[in-house]
Amino acid sequence: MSLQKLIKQCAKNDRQAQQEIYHLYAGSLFSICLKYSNNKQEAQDNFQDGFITIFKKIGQFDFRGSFEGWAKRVMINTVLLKYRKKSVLNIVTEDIPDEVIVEVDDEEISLDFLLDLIRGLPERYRLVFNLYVLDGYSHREIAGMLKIAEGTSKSNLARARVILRQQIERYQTGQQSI
Amino acid sequence: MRETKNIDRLFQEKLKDFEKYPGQGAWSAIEKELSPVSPKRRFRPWYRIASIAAVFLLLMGVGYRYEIPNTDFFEKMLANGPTESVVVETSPQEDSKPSNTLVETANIPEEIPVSSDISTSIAAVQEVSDDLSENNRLLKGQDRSDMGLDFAENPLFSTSPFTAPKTAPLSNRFSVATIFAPIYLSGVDNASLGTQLGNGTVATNLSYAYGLKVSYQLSKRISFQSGINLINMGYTANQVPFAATMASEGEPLTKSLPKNESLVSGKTNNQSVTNLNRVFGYVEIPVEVKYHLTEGRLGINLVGGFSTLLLNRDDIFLQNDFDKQDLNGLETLRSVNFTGNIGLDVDYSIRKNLYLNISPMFKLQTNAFSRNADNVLPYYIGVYTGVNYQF
Repeated sequence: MSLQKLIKQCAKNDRQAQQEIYHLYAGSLFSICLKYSNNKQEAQDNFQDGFITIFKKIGQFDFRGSFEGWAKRVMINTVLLKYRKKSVLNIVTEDIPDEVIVEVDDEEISLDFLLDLIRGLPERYRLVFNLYVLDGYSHREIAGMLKIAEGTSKSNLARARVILRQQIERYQTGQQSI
Repeated sequence: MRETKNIDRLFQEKLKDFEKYPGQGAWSAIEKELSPVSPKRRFRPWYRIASIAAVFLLLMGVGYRYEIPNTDFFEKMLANGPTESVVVETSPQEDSKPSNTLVETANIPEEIPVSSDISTSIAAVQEVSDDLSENNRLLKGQDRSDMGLDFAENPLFSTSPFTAPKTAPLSNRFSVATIFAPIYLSGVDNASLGTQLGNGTVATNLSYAYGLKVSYQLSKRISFQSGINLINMGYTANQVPFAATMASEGEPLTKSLPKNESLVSGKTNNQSVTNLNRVFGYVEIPVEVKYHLTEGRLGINLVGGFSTLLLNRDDIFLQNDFDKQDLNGLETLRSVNFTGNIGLDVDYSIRKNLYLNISPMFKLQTNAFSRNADNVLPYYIGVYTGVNYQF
């Protein structure tokens, strides 16, 4: 069955088509949840909520862009909606450089380690870092998505970078001393 | 080996192809939350087919019903000849009171002279009957497609089990609506029997229509709709002079009028106010296309199409303060005619699948009257309201 037909069947609540769509996109969408959530359990919950939203809204997909792109946006929005509700971070206004350089040995840094670092970030920093660095949204878009000022988004990103660099350096120092 | 790296790039490179699948139970958890698959869905195609069949049979039944009286009427009319059916004669009773305005159709002796106007009327009615007979023949014959009654070719019924069910994806939706509409008729002034007979003014009465509308959503923006409406209309021609004249003479009108003088010329004396009333009705079968301008709770649509009107009632009577007299047999309305329809259709959702529906429509009638009034195009405006149920 073609993707278009599968999507149309999903809109009619066809369970078999829904299962096929799930298997096609579960990997990429769960990865988003692992990056945006602050632990694996929350990632699992967010993934379920996001997929249910996708199936509820799948009738609104107009076949103009890629379905995967649309599904990712729905998933991200579902997660953001959840965190936006309880986010109470203070705005940091200090001057922080735009670019953060770190000295790393690629061999020492694993993917799981980086994921843990992201998940360890304060909530807003994590969201902004994911949106800007990993998913390519602009500060203006992020400001709209998180209902914050554009300057706040920039500031959050800079703080996230500094924290991440500190964590990586601390980790590497620890590795050296072992 | 260590190297300096932009921290963004470090994360982008490492997470570029990151993909991880959730645990085994994830799908079951999602499936539980999804709305259950309704067992009714499996039977929905049958509901649809049954609905289409019901509408089809209903329309066929209506067509059949209106075929029968037409046949009787015209066969009788043609057998009796035009003279019998149109000559108007006062009562032969000598002791009739002046207020009595009896008009009846009856055989009259051949020696009684008939005015030239009456002859003209006879000719006109003969033409009408010819026209109507032709229509009647069409109704009975195999030529129905000419009159828009060919259901097999009507796209609305293309999913009918009686025709080819090759298209129409089942995802499209049907809706049924009840209809009631006040009708404002206009444009009949020049064609009304009253003004043909005299110089009185014509007032249209408030008319109404009611019925059923069936709609089939063909695509996101386009729907076809059809249905069946019963329309009742009427008008009154004021101050028609001839009934009073007849009464005051106290003898058969046809004897009292000099040859070549109009039956209702106004030259006769003692005219009094008499109104001519006409009450008529149609069975309307519309075929319309609906274009959805907006969606959501408030749906606004443009509607265009045409209707076939089948005459099912045509009563004409003279009435003054004292009496009422039928004038049936002077029909000038065609038994089948058409309207071009255009208007708006507004739906407002009051519950899931249930909508309030208001549809102001303008309908222009073609060939409503017989040949002697062909240039007249009556029109009516109806505000069709009802409740619409989608399934």
